[in-house]
Amino acid sequence: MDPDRDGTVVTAHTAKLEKMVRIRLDYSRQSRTIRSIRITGDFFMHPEDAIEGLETGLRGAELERDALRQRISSALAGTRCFGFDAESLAGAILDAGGGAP
Amino acid sequence: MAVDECLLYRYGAAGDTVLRIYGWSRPCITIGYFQGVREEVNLERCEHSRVDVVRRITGGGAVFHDMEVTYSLVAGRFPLDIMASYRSICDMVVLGLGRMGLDASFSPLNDVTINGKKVCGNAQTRKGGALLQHGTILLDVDVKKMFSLLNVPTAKIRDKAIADVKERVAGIGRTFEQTAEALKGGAQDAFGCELDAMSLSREDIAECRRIMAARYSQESWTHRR
Repeated sequence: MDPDRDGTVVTAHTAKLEKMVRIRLDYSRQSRTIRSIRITGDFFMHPEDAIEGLETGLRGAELERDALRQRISSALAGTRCFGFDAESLAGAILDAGGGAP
Repeated sequence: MAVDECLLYRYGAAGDTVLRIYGWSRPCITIGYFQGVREEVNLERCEHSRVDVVRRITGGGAVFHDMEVTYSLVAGRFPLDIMASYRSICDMVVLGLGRMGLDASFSPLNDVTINGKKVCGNAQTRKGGALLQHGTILLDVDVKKMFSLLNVPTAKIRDKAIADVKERVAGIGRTFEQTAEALKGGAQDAFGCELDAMSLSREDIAECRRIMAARYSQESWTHRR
């Protein structure tokens, strides 16, 4: 097992419209960067296939609030989301990654 | 699911509006587009209970379809604002329930409630310039059965989860036929239109079969997240 590799599943309730967002995160504990991420839940996103772009866009991101928020906002430009926004999603990812640095 | 998708592309995208009202030959679970199937559903128990599981093309949560009236509405013309479009289509449900003497109201984003309890959940997608809204009107709710098939975070909170849902969700206590008729009336009231009955054409059915083979009968679709 790679000690630098850590898979975490965290369930985070978002306050927005009582939707649930779950984060499955594979990240480097050493560099605190995301290797891969899966975002699931009962939220809505239009268009729906933006979710793949969001997950891809977060690969390599640093587990730091501003960096995450920026990546999320950039990936979701032109997308309508109900159930989370860049701020709450960044918070949920940080929770999954063991909290803010 | 395949019929709804067929209607979306063949009718909604052509500018038509179609309301489909249906039930289920046996209980089924649908999960939202973004949900993880193993996170939400006890697949082993579903298989044992012969409950099918399928992913929708619409977002939202897992639904145990049992004692309910299900509808889909496709439209080529609709409010671009998502909240406004939910409100507009849910008005059909509100007015339909009103025809049965039920005082319902739209509860944003995507629910219809009576006395604060959810009786109808809805989910939308937009593709090819058209809108599809799925909705379920609960006739009755077997929360215990539902939670035997859906996953809750831990067994410890199962009883609380059941109590919470009983507190927040209710059936309307009408028959399928009464509700289906009322929903048709609600559509006429909400959209100021007459309804024409339609059947799927041979080409529609062929397209439904193609969609079913390519998507909904594929495990890779339902298990993609």
